[in-house]
Amino acid sequence: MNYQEFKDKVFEKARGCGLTEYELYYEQSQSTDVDAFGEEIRGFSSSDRAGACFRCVCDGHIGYASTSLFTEEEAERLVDATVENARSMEKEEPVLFCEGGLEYRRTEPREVRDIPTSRMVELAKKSLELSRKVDDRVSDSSEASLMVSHSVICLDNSNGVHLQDTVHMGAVVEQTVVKENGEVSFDVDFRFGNPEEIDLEEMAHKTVQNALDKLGAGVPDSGVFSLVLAPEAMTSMLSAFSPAYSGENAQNGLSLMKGKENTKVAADCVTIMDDPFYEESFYRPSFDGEGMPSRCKAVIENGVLKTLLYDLATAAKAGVESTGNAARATFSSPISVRPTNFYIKPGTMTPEEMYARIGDGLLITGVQGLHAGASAVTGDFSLQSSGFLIRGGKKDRPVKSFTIAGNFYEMLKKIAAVGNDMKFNCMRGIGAPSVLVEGITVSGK
Amino acid sequence: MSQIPVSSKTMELVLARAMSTGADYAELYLEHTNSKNISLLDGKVYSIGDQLISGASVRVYKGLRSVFASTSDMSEKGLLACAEKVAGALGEGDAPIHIHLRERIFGDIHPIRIVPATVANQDKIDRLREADAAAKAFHESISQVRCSDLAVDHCVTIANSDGLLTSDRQIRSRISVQAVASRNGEMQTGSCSPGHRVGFELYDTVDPRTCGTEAAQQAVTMLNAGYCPAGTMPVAIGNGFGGVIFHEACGHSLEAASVAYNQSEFAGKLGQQVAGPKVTAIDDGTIPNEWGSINIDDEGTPARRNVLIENGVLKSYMIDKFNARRMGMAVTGNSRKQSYAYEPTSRMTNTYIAAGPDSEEDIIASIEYGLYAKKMGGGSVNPLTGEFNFGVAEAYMIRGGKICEAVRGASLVGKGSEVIRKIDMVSSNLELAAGMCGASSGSIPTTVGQPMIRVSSITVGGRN
Repeated sequence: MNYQEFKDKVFEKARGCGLTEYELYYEQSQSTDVDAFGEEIRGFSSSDRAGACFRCVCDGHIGYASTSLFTEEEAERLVDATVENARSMEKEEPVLFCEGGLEYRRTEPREVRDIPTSRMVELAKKSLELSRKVDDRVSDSSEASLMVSHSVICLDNSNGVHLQDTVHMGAVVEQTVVKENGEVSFDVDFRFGNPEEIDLEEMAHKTVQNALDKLGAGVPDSGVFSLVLAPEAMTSMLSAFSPAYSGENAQNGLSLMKGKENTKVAADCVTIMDDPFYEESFYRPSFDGEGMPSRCKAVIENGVLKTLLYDLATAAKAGVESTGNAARATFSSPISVRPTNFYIKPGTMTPEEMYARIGDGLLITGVQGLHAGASAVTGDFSLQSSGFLIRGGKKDRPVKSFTIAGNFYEMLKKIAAVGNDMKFNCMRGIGAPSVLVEGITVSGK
Repeated sequence: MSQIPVSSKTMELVLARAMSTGADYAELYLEHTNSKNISLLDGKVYSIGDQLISGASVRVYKGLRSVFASTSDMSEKGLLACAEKVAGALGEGDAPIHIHLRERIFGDIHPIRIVPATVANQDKIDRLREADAAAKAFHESISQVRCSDLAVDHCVTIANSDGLLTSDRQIRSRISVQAVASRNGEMQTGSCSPGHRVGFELYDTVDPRTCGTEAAQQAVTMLNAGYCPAGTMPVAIGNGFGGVIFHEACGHSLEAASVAYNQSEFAGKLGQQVAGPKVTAIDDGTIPNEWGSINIDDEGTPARRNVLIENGVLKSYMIDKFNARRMGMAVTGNSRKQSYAYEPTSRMTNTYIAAGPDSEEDIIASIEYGLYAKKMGGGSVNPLTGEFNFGVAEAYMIRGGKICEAVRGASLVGKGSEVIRKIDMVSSNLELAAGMCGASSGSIPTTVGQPMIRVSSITVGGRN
């Protein structure tokens, strides 16, 4: 049975159970992935999935249950399971579901066409061939993959709300591996858009050069240094610490940003935006996980915390409006509060100007292990890193196998400059330019 | 009580269709999973995740090519469309293929006494309240407690063109407690999350109060701790979840997913001394009721006990069907995936360093200046270079052979092949611990474990 029929069955059963407030959220997606390795196509995968999550109110509490089985029998089971769960809930829900009649800003979804399988295979192979041509140190364990996906998201509720968004996405990912005298190094790059329009040659040159630059890496001395965090590294960190800006975490005593609105939480040069309509992004939803209109907002503006992020329940609790940040990680996940397209607003300095300003220090191009070495609750981080020495104001030899450690929320206050080299990761909806920070502990030799 | 509504006749048709364009092997995976996750926050039922996952995947091989498609539409029409997709991606043709499936039942060595679906929410909530109360009662600085009960009932049916038709039902339960201690604008966390391949009887052996206390104790200890010094030093790694060091530093690099592509620093090293002579490491999917155990893997191969490293000598990799072809080696029962939507690959099950000859006291006493990593956090590795990292959730300095003050913010980094050579003491108190492992085929339950070990020198990332 299709979504419309299933929704009618679920709503009919809900009314039959005496429910007056309920909602069905539906997600359907199709994606195709091609993965080339060496001379061949290692993997081809295609997925077609759909799922729905039902929510309803019983005795002032909201319950959830989700399914990917669209039958009449399942429509009934889904409502029964949700009612049972709602009866067990104790979370305070000052506001329930979104009202009808709200205004939504619609952006045309960025188009990504479907490409025939044979063409995807050809492009993936070409991408590897191009990197092999750049340098003969490129190893046959390099990989390239292409991805195209389309999804539809719908939300219907008992207030007569009916919403639908469409998202298309395309990407090329290259992992270029180089080998020299038994030493291995690699570089990963992502490009987003229609795979047929991505400049594979430029991408190949860049990943090969980056991988070669990392050969011969030593371990830096331990000490306290000024660092330039390159866009990829800063993006990883911003992502790991973004839960601190959730109003839900603040209300639950899990964020140090609690009560810090309109106070200084970062250096003057730091502005952090959450912009659901961000030009470069492929995911530009008109509504959030509860059906509230998406809204663009500065979370931190010139160092001052302007707002936390809220869904309906947390906004009501805080006495503010929802910021449109009710998120569902997948159709089956409970609603949580998360940014949509989250980024540090670029500044004017070039990376080279930053190296010159530091004189001697480190350029960090990669940080690993954020799920273990970084705590959004405390802000503490201690991360395996790689990058380059900065000497005499210039990027110097590569370094790896060391950690950088500190506290993210303290570090934001010590950002001395923000770069103009913004890089946005469309897969994760997050981005940052390079940033210059002072006084970070490096643990190496 | 299989919930999978697909007849063997339909499965035969789907496999035949999948092979119609020249594949030499086809496999159908059908899944029906119920998963419920109840969480308590600040003593109140805060969220109940209740999920039914139902779907199928079809995979074909032709030589060293693999094509995979998945669908949440389990009707005959949906399954045939999925088969059509893989067949079409592989080539053209309309070969008449006949598949005759014969059902086979591998033994189930994981008895389940109380199936989660038969337990009311309230019974689970009562257990969580005990954990919450114990954590809060531990110390006044405990400012927040999150507890959750996870129960998964995962039914799979696997059919392939060799004629195999088999099923497994995997039931797992886990309680997780996270406590936050705060003082003067500072926060530290502690956690405790035991789980097993059991039903609600989990609570016969796991006391929620003990979990609450353990999480709270860790948070309070860390709140009172100063920052860990940075540098290279000997480290004693505690038993149980400490085994995550082997999982990251070595385990991932022994998976065929890396080895078959020469993307592992252990590729081509079978029979060679790769670790200290006291190190024996085992991946064993057959431990009754253990968190990472399976009767069959996600390709229908029965689970096995594989000795990976014996007295420091590399003995075996973990190999799935597809990579077995590439490597010219036999499968080891390690092919796993999170759900129908993922393509399976070689993964770990219950992986641990076996007990050795030393005592914990000797290990601590042998360290003049170093770190005691009592409780590990998670970690990650790049098998290509072997560089790994992980966080230490609870750590203490060791001075003059004695455990001294607690330190926070420590992480351990290094290169897998170098660190396992530096494991020079292994104690006898082996303990296993539940974890979730994420990789290309999704997030799966795996067990890590070890007795206390000593790594003679490793880079400790700290802040002082």
